[in-house]
Amino acid sequence: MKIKKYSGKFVSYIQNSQFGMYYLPARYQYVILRNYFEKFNKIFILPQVEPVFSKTQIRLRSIIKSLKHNDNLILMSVYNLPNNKKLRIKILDNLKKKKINVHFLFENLVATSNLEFKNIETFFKFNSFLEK
Amino acid sequence: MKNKDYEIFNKEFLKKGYFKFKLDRLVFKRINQIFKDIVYKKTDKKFQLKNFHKNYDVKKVNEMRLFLFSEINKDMKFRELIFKSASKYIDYTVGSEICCGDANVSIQCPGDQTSILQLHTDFFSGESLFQINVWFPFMDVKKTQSMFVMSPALSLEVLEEIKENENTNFQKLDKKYIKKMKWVEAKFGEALVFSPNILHGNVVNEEKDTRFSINIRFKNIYSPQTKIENEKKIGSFYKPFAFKSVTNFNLKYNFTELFK
Repeated sequence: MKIKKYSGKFVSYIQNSQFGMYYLPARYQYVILRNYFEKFNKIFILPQVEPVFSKTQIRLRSIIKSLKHNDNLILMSVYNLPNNKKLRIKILDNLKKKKINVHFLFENLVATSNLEFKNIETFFKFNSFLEK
Repeated sequence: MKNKDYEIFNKEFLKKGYFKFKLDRLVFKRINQIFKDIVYKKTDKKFQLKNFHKNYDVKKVNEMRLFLFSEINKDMKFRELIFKSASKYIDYTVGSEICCGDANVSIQCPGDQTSILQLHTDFFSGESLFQINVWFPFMDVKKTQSMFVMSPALSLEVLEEIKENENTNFQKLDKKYIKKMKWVEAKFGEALVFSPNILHGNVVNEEKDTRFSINIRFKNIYSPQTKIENEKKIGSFYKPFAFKSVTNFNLKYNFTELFK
């Protein structure tokens, strides 16, 4: 299988608390991430972790601020994005504006276009329909 | 029971969130030798650890880190030596019935951008608030070769911002508080016991020598674990380490089952 090439740097991010319906100990998130980086021949740097008590996902916002045009943000899942819609939209808008490729490993999705970013928002909408 | 030595320690620990002390000289000599031998096993040559960056491909620093981590944690022996070298201060802070985490290795080569651990506390990743961290380098360290800490009072102020402020980020916080970060100076054979609730971290090492250091967490076995649903619990994160007779007694006989 041909692996798509991404020219920008790869930066990853993890959470040490539940995200969406998932929880995975940090050391296993590292294993998955390291494997993903190797697939694209990128040097794996340990991800910075989101403070478990942060209400504003300060780590994710700080990482995005440090990224440049065409860089790649590697997340475990779309559910690493904030549950809070206002905050999520702000973050997604920033990612689109900076033309960051966002890799969501669990969903096997790389969001690079407006349409793909819109689809992510659709996931959250459907899940909100199904919430008890 | 009053103990003057403890009172001096306690006063400084409460004020600064850390205390610097000398590791037991003979035990540290053994720790140092074991550690160096593991490094040399990987590099196939001997050199002063502070000159590591001149003797190893820095791009592979993470490979070395993982190798060292796996070697020193393959059994409890290395951790037992660390405990022995700092037992008085571990007892002062968390008592005598304790569990411990893995011993972590930091390698900070001059100019290496890949080993930065930004401003953080250990409970960022959902660890217990009731643990201490024993940290020591294998060479003299100061300034950017070392790590920085913030006072407990200032840490709380910054943590409030981290928790609530939508308009801030770590770049802004670094800029705002850089002058208030205190660089830890430590000589070979000295260690720090600190509450990892205080903000700490490192930046790119701009000095001329590499820093190798160890950090390991100890927690009283009966002190609170995190309330977050994660793996930072006894078994998966903290390994039972030392107990007293009543605990041993209840491990042997199932009296506690009667209340289930």
